[in-house]
Amino acid sequence: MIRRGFQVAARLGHHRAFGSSTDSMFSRFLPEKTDLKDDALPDASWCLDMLSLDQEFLEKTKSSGWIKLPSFKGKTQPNGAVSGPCPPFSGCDTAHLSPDKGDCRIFTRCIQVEGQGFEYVIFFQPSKKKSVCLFQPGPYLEGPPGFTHGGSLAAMMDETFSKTAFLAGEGLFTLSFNIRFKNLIPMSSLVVMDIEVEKIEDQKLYMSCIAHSRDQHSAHPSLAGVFLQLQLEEESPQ
Amino acid sequence: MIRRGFQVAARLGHHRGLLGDPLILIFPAQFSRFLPEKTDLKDDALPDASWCLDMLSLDQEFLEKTKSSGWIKLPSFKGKTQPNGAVSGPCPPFSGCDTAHLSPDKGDCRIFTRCIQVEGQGFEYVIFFQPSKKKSVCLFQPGPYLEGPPGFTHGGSLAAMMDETFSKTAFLAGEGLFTLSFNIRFKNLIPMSSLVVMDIEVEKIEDQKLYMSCIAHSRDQQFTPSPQVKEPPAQPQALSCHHPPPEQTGGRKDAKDSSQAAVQKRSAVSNVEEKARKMRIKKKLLSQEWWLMPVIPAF
Repeated sequence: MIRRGFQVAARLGHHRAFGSSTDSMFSRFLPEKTDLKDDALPDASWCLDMLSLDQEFLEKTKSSGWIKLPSFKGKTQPNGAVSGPCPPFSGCDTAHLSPDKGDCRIFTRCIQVEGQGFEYVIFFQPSKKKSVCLFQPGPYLEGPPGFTHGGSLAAMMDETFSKTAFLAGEGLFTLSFNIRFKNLIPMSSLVVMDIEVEKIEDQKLYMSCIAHSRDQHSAHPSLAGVFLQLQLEEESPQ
Repeated sequence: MIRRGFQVAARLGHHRGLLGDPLILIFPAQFSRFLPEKTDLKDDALPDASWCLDMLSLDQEFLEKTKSSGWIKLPSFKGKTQPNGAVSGPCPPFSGCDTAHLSPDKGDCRIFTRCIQVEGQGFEYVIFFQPSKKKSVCLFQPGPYLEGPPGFTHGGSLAAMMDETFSKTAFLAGEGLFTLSFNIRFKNLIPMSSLVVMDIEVEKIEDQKLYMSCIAHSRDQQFTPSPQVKEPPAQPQALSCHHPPPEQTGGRKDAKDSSQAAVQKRSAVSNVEEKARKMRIKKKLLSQEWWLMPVIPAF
């Protein structure tokens, strides 16, 4: 699904040459207003694994073509205007958006208390159309006692898929997704999600994701493996 | 997935014969079993000022059904792990599943769908369950903190809400404990703060797995759609969420070998040993002190 953070990215459709420098592409994602806080930065709640992997990928952004995606809480514009393309689905009508509908937040940034909700950062590699998401679920995402809610994992995957799909092939909306759960994920532990675009055909992006603990390599999901397939309908940008 | 709220429901396994209509008659008397000793826990499944008119009226409609048609309203609490950090629920025998990481001071934990306590901003929902037909209805109103596309609900929040509803229904209908697999097909976007009605049914129970389906739609859809209605609703659908019945034994470790989406190989353990194991787990559940309020009705 399109994210407000991508209204700038929507323009990229006109600039398909992603091969242009990493820096120039990255700068397109920076908001014009600089008072928005990037939530994808380390804070005191991040575990050591997450901090070290974050550092590892930051190094890769300098040398291996990876890009770190900033992440903002997001806000519909004060005048209520939809700050992104509205898809031509029946029933999709922006009339219900009133100027005073209050504070809206991207779901994965809805909990702003440090360390309690979704703590994550996404790195994207354009040349290989793959992403890595470092995710640490907080205590507000609990399901079974001491473990993460399956729905929160699904939400995090959906968010990562959406960003990757848009950057990799202008994917806009989730058509379907399937999850297979292999194991429970302890709360406040690091989950590494490896996302790849498997193929793009018939205006759909097919993607896969494997979530695992740091010890695992992406090719071999085991203890914390979750497999996800996602189809996105590709549309031309406005 | 097991919910802390189902620890008392585990006892129901002993009373399987009561499931069905006779169960409805004993509901009122046994409802008190589910009321917490501490009464400061707030039931979040009650109407508040943020509920839209559709949600209020449907809630009222189902409340009437709880009096006459065997429906049950499930209370819903924020949830809390015990202050000493003890795991207040069974830890499944998965490798890597280790409770040592739980420290006594790990702070406030919340059931994910009740993580946002600001009225009207997060998940506003109530679930009604009908034991005789093994079906549920969830009235869900996603708030502004669940935004995805501007003005519309995040698909992940809908998935989370469905997973929560499936979990409760699966446990009540057949002691389902964990989600094995979960498939969603999205048909349309859901406007924020609009009412979403989810109809969940248990399709079948076999090989220690519960197969369930859910259709999410706006209020305009009929609650009992006629078979002739072939056109899919305008709202997203979630189909084929699989929840397994209670614990597997060695079978679970074989799951990784399976190439099918939701299949676990049946354990070779004999029925007698399986029953004994179930009894041990249930006894363990009952022996722990849960001050966390379960989200189950009185049976």
